Amino acid sequence: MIQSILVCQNSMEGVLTAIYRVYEWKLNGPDTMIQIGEADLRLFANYYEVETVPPLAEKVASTVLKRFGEDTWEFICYALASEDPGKGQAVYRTIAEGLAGAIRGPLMHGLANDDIRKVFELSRHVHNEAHRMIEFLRFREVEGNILMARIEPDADVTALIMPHFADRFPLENFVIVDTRRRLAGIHSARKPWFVARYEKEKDAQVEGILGQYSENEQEMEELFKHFCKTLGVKERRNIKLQQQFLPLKYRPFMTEFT
Amino acid sequence: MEKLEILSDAAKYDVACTSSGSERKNDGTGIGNAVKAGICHSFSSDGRCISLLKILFTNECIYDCKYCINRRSNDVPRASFTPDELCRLTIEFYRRNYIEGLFLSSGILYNPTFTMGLIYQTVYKLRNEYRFQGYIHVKAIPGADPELIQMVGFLVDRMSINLELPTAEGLSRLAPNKHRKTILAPMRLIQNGIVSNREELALYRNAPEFVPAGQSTQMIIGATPENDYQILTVAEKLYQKFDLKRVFYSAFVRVNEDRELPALPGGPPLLREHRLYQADWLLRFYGFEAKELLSEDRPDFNILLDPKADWALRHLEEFPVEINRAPYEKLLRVPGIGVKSARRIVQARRSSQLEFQHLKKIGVVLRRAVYFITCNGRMMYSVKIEEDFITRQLLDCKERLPFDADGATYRQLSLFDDRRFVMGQDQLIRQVIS
Ligand code: SF4
Repeated sequence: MIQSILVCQNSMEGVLTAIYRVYEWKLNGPDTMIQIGEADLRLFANYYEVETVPPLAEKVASTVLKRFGEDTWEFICYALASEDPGKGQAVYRTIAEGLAGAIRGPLMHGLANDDIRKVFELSRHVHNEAHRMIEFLRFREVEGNILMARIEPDADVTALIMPHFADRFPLENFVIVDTRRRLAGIHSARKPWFVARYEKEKDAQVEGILGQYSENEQEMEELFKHFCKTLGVKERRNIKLQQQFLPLKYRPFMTEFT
Repeated sequence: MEKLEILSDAAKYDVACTSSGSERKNDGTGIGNAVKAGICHSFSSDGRCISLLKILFTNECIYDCKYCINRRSNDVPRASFTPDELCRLTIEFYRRNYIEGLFLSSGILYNPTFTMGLIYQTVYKLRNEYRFQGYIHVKAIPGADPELIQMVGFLVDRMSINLELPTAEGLSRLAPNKHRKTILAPMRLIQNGIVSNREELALYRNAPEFVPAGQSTQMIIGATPENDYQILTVAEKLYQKFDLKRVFYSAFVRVNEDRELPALPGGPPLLREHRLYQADWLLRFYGFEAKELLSEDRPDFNILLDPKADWALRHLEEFPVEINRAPYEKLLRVPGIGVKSARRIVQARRSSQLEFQHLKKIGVVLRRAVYFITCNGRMMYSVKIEEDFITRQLLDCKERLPFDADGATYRQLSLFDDRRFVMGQDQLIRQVIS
């Protein structure tokens, strides 16, 4: 049998649209694959380019929510935020197994299944990274009383961490910029947050804003650095343990390590 | 700047720095929320989490506790904050995502009630004027007016009163101005406050919350001669009789020269502290009792094995445990199986019979567990359940210790860590080790 391969955009909507098409085009089967980004061409396969259609993605989302509940949906959202090239396939198979009724009990408990386990692991990975961002990102106050944070996470976590900060700082104007993906999560006081993309041409301008200081900023940064330094008990010094908890890759944007 | 340095330096020996136990959304009128599991924002050079602005209101003190850097008889620079200074600092740090909140303690200025009053003013302002809804942990000062302690309890998430030393004798020797009674009385007061608040909240959902993240305490380990069994028994009592959320153990750091204080050539007893934390987990989450882990005849933890492995080796008759049938509580007692793994096993075995390869897949680490479990009646390797053999195997899977670092070897650490060594009977400990 000739394999079907659906090629979709690297985004949550992209993958979910592809899953919709699998069913619509009656391609569902163990050999069908969802591939993200460029098609890597194989002989003996039928390729389908899938264009992203948000309303179709939404349909898949609501099916998952209805059939498998909120927990499963959260696992899938987090898994789809990862940069793993196999995420689309794993999510597709997981949903397919669920719809086929192959798993007894909650879908995400079926860890003996390789695809479900993959979704589980990807999701856990992204969860950890989102959590690390919540811990380690630092805001800097720039002119106009705006708080700016810069991140470069491995997974696309901006939209996943915005709710946390929006709840925490309802009266603040703040922006979280993922300079790796050119995304900005934006929150204005008392308003709902959103994520915007910016173009490469804006890089210099974004860097400029991220580099600004408000009047108080330098003093606060100095105070915090001193605080962190004093807090270490020298009789217990343990740099390895510090590194285990706080990997070096997160430090470039952290106030106390710059 | 200098003030911050003096007053955070003086606070750093307190080990509690968690921001856990409260869950609260922002009501839209201020700044901050609280996350049940707590959030660490950084780690200091000793590998400890930085979660709260841990600081003293003042390091002035009328008392003279022998182990404390702030004691009256020490000649150190002194400083005090004003409530507004502390509020501003908290808010500015919090907005930048440096911290989860404030952990406020204090030396005793004039008298306990006066000091508690300053703390009250600070947290009152922080909550009401600065509209701060993040995490606050406050140290209650023993001997302060109970009413004041009560009032503070309605403003904060967690309160703690340090037991300081595990026994009353230890306390009277090293902290002559403190008394066991004045420490336990406010602890009881807070406990009762929490209980009656719970009833109130059940009736009126909008009643103000009293110390919602519970209370904790801290004991200094290794400054006085108590053994591990005594310490763990005290901790168990505190959990049972005072409903404490956490007991913290703080390896004694010798900051003062004093005849009454032990010399610690190997530095603070970190391995001992570590074993106590491990055992503390066993009490709180694994259904163990202190007297199962230690006894009068065996009053100290094994230097080479963690408390659970040590227990298992002395109770081989309870093993092997069958993964597909054993109740959750039994799974928890298997060395190498933690709360997460035990939960996953229980979940996964509902949908299929588990074999060893499934266990690996769901993330159960088998390295240590293999000697204690069967899957469908079979062990992974055919091994005898025999103490010497398993002990050797377990010692071979090197335990990852949090301080096995920075050049100090395991043996050095374990040698100096042992209580008996601290007490000067190094002969004995040499025998144990070699
Ligand atoms: S009461 Fe004792 S432990 Fe507390 S600050 Fe004063 S001297 Fe130190």
